[in-house]
Amino acid sequence: MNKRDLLQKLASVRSTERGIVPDQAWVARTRETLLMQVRNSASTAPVRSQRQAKIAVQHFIPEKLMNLLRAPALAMSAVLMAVLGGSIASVNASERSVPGDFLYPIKIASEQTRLALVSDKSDKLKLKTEFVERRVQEIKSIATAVEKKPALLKEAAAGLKRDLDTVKQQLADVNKNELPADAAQAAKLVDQKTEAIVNELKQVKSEISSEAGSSLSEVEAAAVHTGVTAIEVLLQTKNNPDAQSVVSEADVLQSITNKVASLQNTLDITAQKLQSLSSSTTQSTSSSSVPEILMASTTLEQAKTLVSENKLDQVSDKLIEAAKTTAQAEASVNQLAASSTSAIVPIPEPVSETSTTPVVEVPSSTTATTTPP
Amino acid sequence: MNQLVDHYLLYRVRAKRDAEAFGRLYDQYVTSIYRFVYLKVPTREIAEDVTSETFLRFWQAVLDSQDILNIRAYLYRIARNLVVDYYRKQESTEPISGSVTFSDENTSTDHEGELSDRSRHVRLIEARADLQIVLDRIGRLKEDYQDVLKLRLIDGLAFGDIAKIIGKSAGNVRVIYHRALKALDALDPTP
Repeated sequence: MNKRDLLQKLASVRSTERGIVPDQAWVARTRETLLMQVRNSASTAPVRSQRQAKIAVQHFIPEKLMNLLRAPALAMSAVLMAVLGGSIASVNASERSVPGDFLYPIKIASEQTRLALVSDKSDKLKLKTEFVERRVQEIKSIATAVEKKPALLKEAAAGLKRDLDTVKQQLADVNKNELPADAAQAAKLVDQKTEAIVNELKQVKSEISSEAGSSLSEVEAAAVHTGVTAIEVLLQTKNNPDAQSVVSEADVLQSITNKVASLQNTLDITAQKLQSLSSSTTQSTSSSSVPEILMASTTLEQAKTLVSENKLDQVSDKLIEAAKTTAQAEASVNQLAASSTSAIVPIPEPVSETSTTPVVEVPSSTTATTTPP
Repeated sequence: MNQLVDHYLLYRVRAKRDAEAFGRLYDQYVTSIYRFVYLKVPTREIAEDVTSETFLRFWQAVLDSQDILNIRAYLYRIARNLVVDYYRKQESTEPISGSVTFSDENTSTDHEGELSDRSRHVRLIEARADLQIVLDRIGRLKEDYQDVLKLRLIDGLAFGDIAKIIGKSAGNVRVIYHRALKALDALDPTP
């Protein structure tokens, strides 16, 4: 019997086999008995979902495919862990970086990403305000680190100014598109933050040289400008019934008074610096050599008058103008100080209130007797 | 497609404790397992017992969380082992490979359904005789050839299913199968 005969016999067997049909009564009876045994022996405890998932994988994903995928999947997860883990670590490390540091661009990029992920305008503004505070902290870090160069301080100041401008724009956007109550809330936040920023910048300026501090004067003026924009929004919304629970006229008045006082304080410090400069050098320095001091003082007086007459709607222009001229005055005095220290050696004596060198006519809130033009 | 349905049903049995899913697996395979066993044991009753026992063993394997890659192949393997066990227990004069009986009275009953008429009964006896001859011939080959030929020719399994049972690749099984057929051809024609 060869292979062919054998296969023929098998075909015959199969054909016969196909004709065999089990007794249907037996089939049904066996089924019933079998299922009863299955029900009795199966555990009644529910299978946990994790176990169910494992069973599903075992049954529906072919083993070969699993073997094929296992190595690339492990490799990919290792790469992802390295990349993401590294990224997260880098972003965390970058949180403490300042301008000029290697990781600083990562910090800025992460901030931009966070901003991009926020869609609500008010939330975006809050986040940006938080970043503005970071810029101030960066400036403080740079100012206290002796090894840092003035150029870095300038860069940090420029970054803060840029962010303040953005906050100003975002506030205008919120005021235009959001509900009055939301706009008032946002303006209040910006007002408080900018006031804090101005105070911090003043403190930093007092701790560093005039030359290094000159870059901060401009940004201080920008902070005042942003604060004034916030006051403008508060003035617009204070009469709206929806916003009255958020802001009152007394709040606005207080904010304006704080701004005027802050500007006056800056102007006083500038005038004192000029006075100190004239007493320590042979140069004849007077307020006429820095006309911006007089201009700023005059504008501030006008602002005060408007406040006393309760013409709050008109005061914002004066405040912005005063901030601008005060910054210019500071810059001029710093320039004079720089030129005088390069020309002569004497160390400037500390300015005392009892100084008897009335060379400089200093307009100030307490000492000035200037008349408005 | 059938395999996917099988796996779904088995998943239901294992993950959801679904007895009815097990019932559907039984419905799907009971006839083919019964036919497979029937040709190898002497009586219908023994075939029924072996078939029932096959499904019980299968259920036990499910409970024990054993790897069941191919339900059909798994059931055939259990059935084959049970047939072998049956003959071992009998300790009869017939060898294991000679698992075919020629007893007329044992295989012919009035309740045999489609096999109740005489001509069908004769065909059954002839088929058993043929199967015995085939098994005898295959039994003269070396063991791995025997396994592949029995699984392919007697059990009617696909190469992929045989590969899973004997732990080789489907291509490998195909090669063994063709070599086994050649070896079968080259056997001495005398029994």
